[in-house]
Amino acid sequence: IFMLLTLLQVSAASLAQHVSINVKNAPVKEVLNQLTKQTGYNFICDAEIISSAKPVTINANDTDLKTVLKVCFASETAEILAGDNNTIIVRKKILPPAKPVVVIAAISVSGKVTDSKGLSLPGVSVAIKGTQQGTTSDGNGDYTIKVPNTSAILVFTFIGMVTQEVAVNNRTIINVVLADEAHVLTDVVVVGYGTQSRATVTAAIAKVDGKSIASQPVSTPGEALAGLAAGVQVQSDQGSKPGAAPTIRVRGISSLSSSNDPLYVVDGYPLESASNFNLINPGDIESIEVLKDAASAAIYGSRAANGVVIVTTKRGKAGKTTFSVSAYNGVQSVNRFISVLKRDQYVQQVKDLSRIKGLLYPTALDGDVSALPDVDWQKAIFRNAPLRDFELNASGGSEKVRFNASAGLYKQQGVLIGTDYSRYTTRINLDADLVDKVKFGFSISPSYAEQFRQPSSGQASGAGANPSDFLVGVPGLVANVNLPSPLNQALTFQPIVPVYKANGDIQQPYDRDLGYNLSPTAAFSASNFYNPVGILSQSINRSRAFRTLSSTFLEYSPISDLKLKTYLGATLENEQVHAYIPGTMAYGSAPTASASNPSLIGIYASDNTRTSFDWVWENTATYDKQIGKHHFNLLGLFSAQKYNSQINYTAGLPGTFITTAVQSPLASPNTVGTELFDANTFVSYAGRVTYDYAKKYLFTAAVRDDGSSRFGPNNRYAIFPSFSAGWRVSEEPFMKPFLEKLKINELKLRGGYGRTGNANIGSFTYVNSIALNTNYASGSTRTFGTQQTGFANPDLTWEKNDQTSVGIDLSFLNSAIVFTADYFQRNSNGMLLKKALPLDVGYASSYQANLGKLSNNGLEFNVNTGFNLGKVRWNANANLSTYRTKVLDLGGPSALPAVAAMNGWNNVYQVQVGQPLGLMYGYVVTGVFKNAADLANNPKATSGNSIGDWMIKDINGDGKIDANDRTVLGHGLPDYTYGLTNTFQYKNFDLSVLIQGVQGVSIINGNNRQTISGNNNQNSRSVYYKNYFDPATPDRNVTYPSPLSGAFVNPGNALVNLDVENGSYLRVRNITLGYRMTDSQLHKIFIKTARIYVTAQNPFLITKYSGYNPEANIMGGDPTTPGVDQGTYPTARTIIVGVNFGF
Amino acid sequence: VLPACNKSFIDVTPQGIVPVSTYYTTEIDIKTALNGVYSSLRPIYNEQYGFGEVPSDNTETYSESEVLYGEEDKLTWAATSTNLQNAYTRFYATIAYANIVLGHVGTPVMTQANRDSYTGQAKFLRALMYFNLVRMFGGVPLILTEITSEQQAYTYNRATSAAVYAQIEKDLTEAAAVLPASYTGTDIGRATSIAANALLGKVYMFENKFTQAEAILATVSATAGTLIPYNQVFGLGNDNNKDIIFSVQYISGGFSEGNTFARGFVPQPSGTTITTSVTGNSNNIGTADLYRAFEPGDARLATSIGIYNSGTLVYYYAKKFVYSSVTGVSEGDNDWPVLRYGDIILLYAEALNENGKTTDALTQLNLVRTRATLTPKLGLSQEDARTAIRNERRVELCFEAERWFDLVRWGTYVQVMTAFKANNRSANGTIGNVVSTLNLFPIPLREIQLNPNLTQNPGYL
Repeated sequence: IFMLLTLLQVSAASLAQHVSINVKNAPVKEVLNQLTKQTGYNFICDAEIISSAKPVTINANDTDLKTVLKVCFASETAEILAGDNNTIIVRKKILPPAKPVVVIAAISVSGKVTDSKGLSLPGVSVAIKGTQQGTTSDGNGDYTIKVPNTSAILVFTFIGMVTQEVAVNNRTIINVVLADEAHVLTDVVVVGYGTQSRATVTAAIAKVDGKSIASQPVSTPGEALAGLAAGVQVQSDQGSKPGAAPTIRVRGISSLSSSNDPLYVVDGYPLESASNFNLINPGDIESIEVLKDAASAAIYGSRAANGVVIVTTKRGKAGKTTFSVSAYNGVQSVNRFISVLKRDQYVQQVKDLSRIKGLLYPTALDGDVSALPDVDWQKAIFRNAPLRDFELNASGGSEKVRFNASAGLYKQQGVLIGTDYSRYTTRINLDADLVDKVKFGFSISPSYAEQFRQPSSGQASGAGANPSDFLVGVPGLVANVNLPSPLNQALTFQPIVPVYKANGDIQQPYDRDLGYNLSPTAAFSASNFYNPVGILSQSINRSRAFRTLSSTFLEYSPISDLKLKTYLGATLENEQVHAYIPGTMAYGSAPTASASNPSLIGIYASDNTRTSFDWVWENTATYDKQIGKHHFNLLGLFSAQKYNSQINYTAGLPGTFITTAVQSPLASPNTVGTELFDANTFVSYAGRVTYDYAKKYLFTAAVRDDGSSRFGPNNRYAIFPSFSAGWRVSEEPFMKPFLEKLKINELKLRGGYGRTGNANIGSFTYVNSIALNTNYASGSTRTFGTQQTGFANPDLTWEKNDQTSVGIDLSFLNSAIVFTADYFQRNSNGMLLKKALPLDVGYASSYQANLGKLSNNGLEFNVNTGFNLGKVRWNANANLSTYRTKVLDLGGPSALPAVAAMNGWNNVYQVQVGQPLGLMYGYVVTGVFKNAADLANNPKATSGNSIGDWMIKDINGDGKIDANDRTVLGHGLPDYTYGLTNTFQYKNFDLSVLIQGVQGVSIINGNNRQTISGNNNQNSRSVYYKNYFDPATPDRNVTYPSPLSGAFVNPGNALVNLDVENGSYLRVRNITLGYRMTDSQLHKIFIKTARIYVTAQNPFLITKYSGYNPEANIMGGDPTTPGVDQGTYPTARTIIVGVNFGF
Repeated sequence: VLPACNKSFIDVTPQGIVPVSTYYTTEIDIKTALNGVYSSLRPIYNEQYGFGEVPSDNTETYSESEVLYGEEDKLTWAATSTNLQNAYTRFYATIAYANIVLGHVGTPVMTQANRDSYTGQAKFLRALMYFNLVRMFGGVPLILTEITSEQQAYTYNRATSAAVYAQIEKDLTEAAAVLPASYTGTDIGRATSIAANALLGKVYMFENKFTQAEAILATVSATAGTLIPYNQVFGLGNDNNKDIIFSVQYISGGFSEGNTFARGFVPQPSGTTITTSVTGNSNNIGTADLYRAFEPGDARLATSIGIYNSGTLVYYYAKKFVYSSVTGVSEGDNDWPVLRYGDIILLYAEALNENGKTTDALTQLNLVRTRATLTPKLGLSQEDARTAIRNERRVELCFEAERWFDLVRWGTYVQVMTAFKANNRSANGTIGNVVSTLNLFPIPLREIQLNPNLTQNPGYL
């Protein structure tokens, strides 16, 4: 009569034990099996009950066993008892004689139960309050129940959801939306090569739900991560440049010369290139887990030094196939402008500066200037740009085969003319249970992206731009072109120059016919200023990328608890970059070109194509065993990965183009080309053991042995160990009463240590090789030559990170408030640095060696809450993180050579032993020498000072001003970063607000170098107007020196404190207001669910910074020069309207 | 999977990388590597003027090019100067490439004649670089083999000046013994035995070994070339003419393998009037003093100096190295003479005069003067002949980066520059103090910081 399911016995069972289980339409027997695994309890069940039990759907997270069992046997009259020896008995209830139930005027109520996403919820228990009567929703989430009277109250219960009570109130149709429980501590997290219950995790892992990412109208998933996870710093240093990825840093900085990008693992695939992460359709993402500490990341060994970002895409679930369509449409606009002079003030300033400097100015500026143009150049280069997204998704399948397929289209014009991004993505995820014990999975996700870029960094001359903005030529043969930054130009361009000429040509400021001439031979404007609209509307720098990421696995379970899995993945990439400057565009090589007067000499055309193939083969064996209260999980791994790429470059030699008819190097009879190759391999073994005792004492240890072709023959292999342990204090019986008093239901202490590596050092930096193409000549004949290059370092190896991390997890009020805090100490050892060689070595002046040491330590806090405020469901997540860097060793020297913040402001940053990274050095301005007395009484520059020069603070007090008076003016790495997400749900409305910010950071306003120049033929920031020393009004209180100032510190040639601004900001990243349409509205149009919403992305920014974007950073991810803005892309405000339909 | 399999799996070299370990195995590799040694001369002689001319009374920089050779112009250079470090780096790069060729030339199969030729050329180039180094910096680390480890790099300290000269003489003597006297086809332009002997003669002059100099220069002057008209020696289309003994070969064609003379020598305000496609940078502009050094009727003046008047300033620019149709900044096609017949004749004249053979010396001097359509100098005393020869060198070799070296060699640098400073002001500010320290450039500070065993030249920090 009794069916024994399991035979292990230890002690008395408790129905209060918490379990987590997630099944859909599963037989009860299967559920009990899983519960046995989790609890170690045996279930003894009446055969009659188990055979008549219907399949159940349960989504329980850290829920007590009794509740789960009640669901299993909800429709049964079963009795659940805790027996001795870890047994639980389920038997037929001996019913008392039933009292006659008098049903008065039974009313039939029906409706649909959905979750907050609008998906129907089958298996929801619907009970009449105060009675034993009830039903469950069917496969479509529909239910029908007879209630005795109109004042009856229905209770909707579903594990994992907030229980809801609804009064019938004369209604016959009642649709209910159940809200998710706040369950940060109760869910499952993805770890390297597996998953783990959040309750037993001992490492620092941040989890971000896919819907938080998909809900933001941004071009890359990375951007949407900002503010969502503590310890994960996302900086949109390129503003809203379409398709540009932000810089993502996990727990600070590990390397000065190698990449600081985390490793991205998409559905188990460790990506060769971080850029491939940004091609994932945000709508496909189920969740993102960030392995922050080394204890969790070390399983990825040599590539995990900067943390691991694990992306899991949506997979199909058995059940009815669902279709969904979602779309949004919106517009982006620039809502911050930099104040520059308008015409009248500009003209006045031209006259003033000309008078002071003894220069001529055009006679056209004398007298009435109201007829002259008054162009706002910022308005001329920016536009309101559309943005739209359309996605289709189908998901479903049978018990045997499940699928999730999607296709998406994202199109975005940039707010800067000439910038544009479109992305087309498709994905199929397939899972099949082939035969008993064998599972099969397959994913393929082809995508195509097209990006039009424009120069958006550096100064008006093009100097100091980020090389990624260059038009790429042919290495060694045709130089890259760095066009002037139109953003920097727009600020300095004279407002009295119109955008276009009467004939439609782009107006150049130095055109004689403009009438701003100084003499018959001299134009007023400098000849290296070109109309930014001309550049933006004509130059082309286009990237087209095809990428296909695919993977397949076969999983075999020969005995229960053991899984053998083999995984094959491949990435195929093809990226074509096309650059073209037409003969009609005026720039350095063709200053006089225009549409009506094209110049062949200025044509520039180049193409390059990168093709790469990467494959990975991973084999894992996982053994998961519960023996009484002992739970073991063992993992073994062997993996191999190989990457190959080739870039082909082609360009026409500049000056040799003979036609404007084709926009291609083919327009030149003199095309040249070259190729570039890359390859690398990894081979790895890894093992991990996870153990817990009664889910109370937790322990994990892992080790990985990696080998890679990237390193010197003497040092190809390295071992990366890690350990971590946790103690769930709240599970200790002696602590329970105490904690319960404090309303604490979970208290976990955890900590760990691990070593990880940074393999992002480029391939073959250890070899010395032969450089071809170092040619010579004999008269007019080329002779071909080679030179030896590089300096062999057979010992070259990984940068190693040692990280110790401790944390605490605390849950209050039955997990209504979940608090997490982490502290980490991270040391990078053997940082790759260039070690200087004596120059007499000749063929190399330095070589790459593992030299430096850098430490990062930091704190992270995270709070999650979920409360019902009346009828409003409120969930919030708040996080705050901070870290400090310190350089410990540079392999001998006490400092690396100082580097410029940007062109012209030299020696601003210097990596120094004992100092943090990112300190900005420069001079402190204390005023202006207004008269001879000032000049006599204050320290002066060694090269001499004149009246009108800046007075500089004598930092070292030696009575003279020289380079030794430079001091720290700011720091480019922030003190704190934080994020705050609030979501509210009220009836059919939902509202979410995401706030993110950075505190305690400085930014160098590099535009000042051009916008406060004292040049009489350029516009300036408004703040400069009549705010400089003028000999005519020497007593005027001014900030800036005389435009004549020639001393060694003046706005043009040194960083001063006035250029270093407070870069702290608070940004409201996202506000979304949604409305879920009611069923009655939908029935008519055959739609199951529908939600319409309005989103504002970046609606508000609070900052003291005077530039467009306090996140701007001209050199992107370079850790040694953080916080420089010059000619960078602004952040746009985006407003969209969107709809989601489910069918 | 066995470790053996892994080893090959992670032992990858991509296409496009030529590891040193697989190179230098054929004669072609050696010859191509040797071309690479020659190739490294191009950047050196693009800017040789920065040390050979700018610090002298011959040329100056203007404010627009202050950042380039301003320190050399104003005599304010220091051990930290980037220009000096760049030059030092480039000389040693050429030496390293030459050492590498010499280290591998014995391995591949080739004829003995070719092996001799490659060996001789590499030694010639190495000697030429040590000659530049020893004259600019004094005794320097003497490196004669490829450095392959960091540890090895620190075993070299400064050799004596005499030891460096001894090595130069040895290399040139050995080179002259095995090099051919001339080349054909696309080998024209390589170092010949005549070039090796000519350079050796010049080296002796810098060592004041006038007897040896006279002997070898006598041979060279008899065989080395012809005094063709001066205006055919320089400029576009005159590569490898009969006056040239050894020159750095530049070529146009869009590959940045040409010279940058137009950029360096054309006055910036001239825009595109002198050179139509390149804007000059006024790095190296002749002084009025140089202009006045030409005797009336000197036919070389029109070839050597161009005059550009910007309205406010007069620029005496190096017309001999500039032609109007140059197509790009690095696209100059004309060559740079390192050793030429006019130079050798004057050195020979000088050697004769120093050895007391003033009449013979004047005969040689007058060969050069006659070409310049100047009247011969006759019957001068040894001292007057010395002055005449020195003045002749200044104008004959103007802009060819010989002046500073010559002034230092004669021991007259301080005196000449003091006088020059009294009458001239740099176009870009005051000239610094003229002191004997300036007879040598400092060893780049970077080198001394890296290897404290290296000593600095007197007067420099």
